Amino acid sequence: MLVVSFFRIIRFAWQGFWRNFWLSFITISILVLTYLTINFLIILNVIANSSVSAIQDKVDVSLYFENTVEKEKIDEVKEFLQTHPDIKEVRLITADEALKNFRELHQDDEIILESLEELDGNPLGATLIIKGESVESYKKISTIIDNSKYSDIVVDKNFEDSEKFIAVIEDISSKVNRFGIIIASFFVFISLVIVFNTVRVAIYTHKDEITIMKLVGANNTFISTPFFIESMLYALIACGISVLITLPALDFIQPYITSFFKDVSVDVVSFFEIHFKKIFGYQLLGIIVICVLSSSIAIRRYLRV
Amino acid sequence: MIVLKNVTKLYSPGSLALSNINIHIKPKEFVSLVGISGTGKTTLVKVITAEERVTQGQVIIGGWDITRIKPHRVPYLRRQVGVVYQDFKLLKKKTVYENVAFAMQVSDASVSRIKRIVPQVLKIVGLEDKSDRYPIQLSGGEQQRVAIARALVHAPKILVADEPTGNLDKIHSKEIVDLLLKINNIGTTVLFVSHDPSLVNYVKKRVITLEPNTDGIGFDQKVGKYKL
Repeated sequence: MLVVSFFRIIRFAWQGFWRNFWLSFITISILVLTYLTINFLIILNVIANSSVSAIQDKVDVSLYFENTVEKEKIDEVKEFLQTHPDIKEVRLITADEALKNFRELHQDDEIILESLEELDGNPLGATLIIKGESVESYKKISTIIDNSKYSDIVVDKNFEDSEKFIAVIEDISSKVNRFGIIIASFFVFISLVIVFNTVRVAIYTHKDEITIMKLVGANNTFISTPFFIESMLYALIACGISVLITLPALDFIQPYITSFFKDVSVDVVSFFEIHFKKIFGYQLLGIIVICVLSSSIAIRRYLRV
Repeated sequence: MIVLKNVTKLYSPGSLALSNINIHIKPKEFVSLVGISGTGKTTLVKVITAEERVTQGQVIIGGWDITRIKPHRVPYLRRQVGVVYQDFKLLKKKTVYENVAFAMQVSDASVSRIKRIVPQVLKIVGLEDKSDRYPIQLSGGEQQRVAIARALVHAPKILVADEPTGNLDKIHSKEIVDLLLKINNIGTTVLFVSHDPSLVNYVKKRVITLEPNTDGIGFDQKVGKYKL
């Protein structure tokens, strides 16, 4: 009996869906827009995160030492820093390497090269290049160095510039995210209202049947369930359409993203492929929750079973 | 069996629909309920079908006290009390067969049971040869017979007919009353609500008269006439 009832409920939901075709069409369109907005937000997030992590990879702190400081002392500083959990990597550039790099960098500038020749010995000191575990690490690293016994032998450090740069990127990324969330919330709200209205109209369209159902002893679950199923059907179809639009759209925009972010590897296609189930699964679940919520409000209000 | 004990229904303060009504209808009885507009006939039908709750008193249907019936139990009551109305309440886009089958479909009936029962009730109401017609292709009397067939699919112990002839001419009205008598002869308790004296007098069965602004019912005649 339960199976029979289940199929009848599905059939009533299906009939309701087609009976108000244009209303169903509008509802699905709005839900598709909601899905696409959320996907657009995810794409922006992927781009922002890839950019930030690429920049983070390039950011490091350089500690410049007096040229009089001995190599053993610098090795000691290196060992000291390497033990710290906020530090990912410490690389030493000796005074000789520093000079070699400097010469290579200014090989076309004769004045600088001549000036170097006039100096006695190597004017440059060794440098320690430090990579932090995260952006937040650099501030801590600076404090560690300042508070350590090695602070006197460090001539200079360039960490403030990196920090400001990362802060700007993160600020832009968080603003983009916030804007995206506002837009997505707006669409979620619109979806709630539209689904509510669709179910309300569906109830109105079925009012004769509902009256007769009540009259002949249909139970409340049998009367109200088709409306829930109908709204879940909207969510499911909209999700399918969203997948059909999003995946080809990603294939289309990927070359443009790649050419725009030349030095940064941003692969939105792979991201969606890897996280396909998670992205669309959660979206479907979320939209179903919206549909069930707005349907239940409409049913409570307009379907007095 | 329908028992109403000291039933009072107040819609809002000052809007008294039923006052201290006591009615006892035995199983297999045919009772005509009459009264002018505003005496509470329809309210009484709604109380019996649990569409309305009484303000005071007790309502027992087939031995089941439905005075404070829980909403989820109402559908089970409605399967035991068939109801037909003046406006037929048929689905225009469904055929006669589908209209009757619909009542069973929404009540968990199996396909085989539907196929067995629907032709039987259509035969009782004399519409077995019009099962594929749509309501618009039927006369008023035939449409009311479809509504009666639909009310009978659950084999109810009680059939309440609320002004079933209100939209019909005299000939069709008489046909409907004959059908109700036939259903009563099969063993179903029938409560026939009407304001048509000729039909009530034609039946020659018990008549309960509701009177306006009266505490209790007006008259209860064992083999009565329309008395107003």
